Amino acid sequence: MTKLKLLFLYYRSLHSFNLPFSLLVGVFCIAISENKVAGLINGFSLCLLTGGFALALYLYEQRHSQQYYFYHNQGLSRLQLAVGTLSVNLLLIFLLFLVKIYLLHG
Amino acid sequence: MVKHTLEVDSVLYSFGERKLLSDVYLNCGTGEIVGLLGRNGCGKTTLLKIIFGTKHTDNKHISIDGKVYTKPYLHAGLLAYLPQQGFLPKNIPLSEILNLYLPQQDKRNIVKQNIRIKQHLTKRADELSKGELRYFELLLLLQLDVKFLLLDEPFSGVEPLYVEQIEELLQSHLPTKGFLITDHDYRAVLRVSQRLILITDGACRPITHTDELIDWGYMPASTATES
Repeated sequence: MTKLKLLFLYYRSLHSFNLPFSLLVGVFCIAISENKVAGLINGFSLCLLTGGFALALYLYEQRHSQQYYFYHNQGLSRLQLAVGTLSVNLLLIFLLFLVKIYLLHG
Repeated sequence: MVKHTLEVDSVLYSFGERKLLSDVYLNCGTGEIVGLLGRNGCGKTTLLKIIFGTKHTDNKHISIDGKVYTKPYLHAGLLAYLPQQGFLPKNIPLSEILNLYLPQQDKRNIVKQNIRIKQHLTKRADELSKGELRYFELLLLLQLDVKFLLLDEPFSGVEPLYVEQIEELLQSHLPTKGFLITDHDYRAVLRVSQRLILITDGACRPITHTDELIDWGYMPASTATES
């Protein structure tokens, strides 16, 4: 349970950048897509998993690398934190794609 | 008292062409504070990170109670590491850190009721002074159920009053833990340690008398009379 709570804290820290950044990319994608909902969800999802995620990891490394020891002292490695965070995002995107399918075909 | 043993052997670490650590052997048991001394850049922090398991190295042999571990920090109940710089998240108050980090209520209460900490619980880590933060970090790690604590410069930038309090804190946890400690405040390390090891030329050299620190060029000869 402690590890899950810590993973959520790490997720919050990382996504204080990734979420608004990916949303911005999603909004930009509305402008270049024929279907606004699909553009928003596709752009947001792709950025959340790739560019936004990589950039958030890089910024965290630059600004808060020492804080990794907060997690290491509870037995969490960098890889576990990254995989855990990515898994939450995959779940979020799966739900978003269900919403997209419902809105477009439902 | 249950006695645990940490053994570190055969650590090889190169930095570019330079061999930083090449002849390392040290051990530490429950109830012991082992002081690691050495000049800037001699590999003290690197050694602690290698022992903890977060720094990759060419070769190492880390065992706790006879069992070998490649990354001890991934195994519950073995080691905790206090890094040189503050490691606490700065976006949440200390009380929330305690709730996250210490699931047992009694352990949380020990920290929350600490006379030097209780007035700061609503503050974030970046709102504390260096001494207050170091004291809190140490107090937090001491509540973890680990056998050994690796302390990297716990006295760095800390005012004398807090140095004394940190020393008392370490002494009070000796029955359940062993400590490897390194700091440039060598007087504090000398006071608090039962054994001393000097890292020089990549090797660990046990020190039995402070004069040896002068012989190895760690302390200036003028400090002989002080120690």
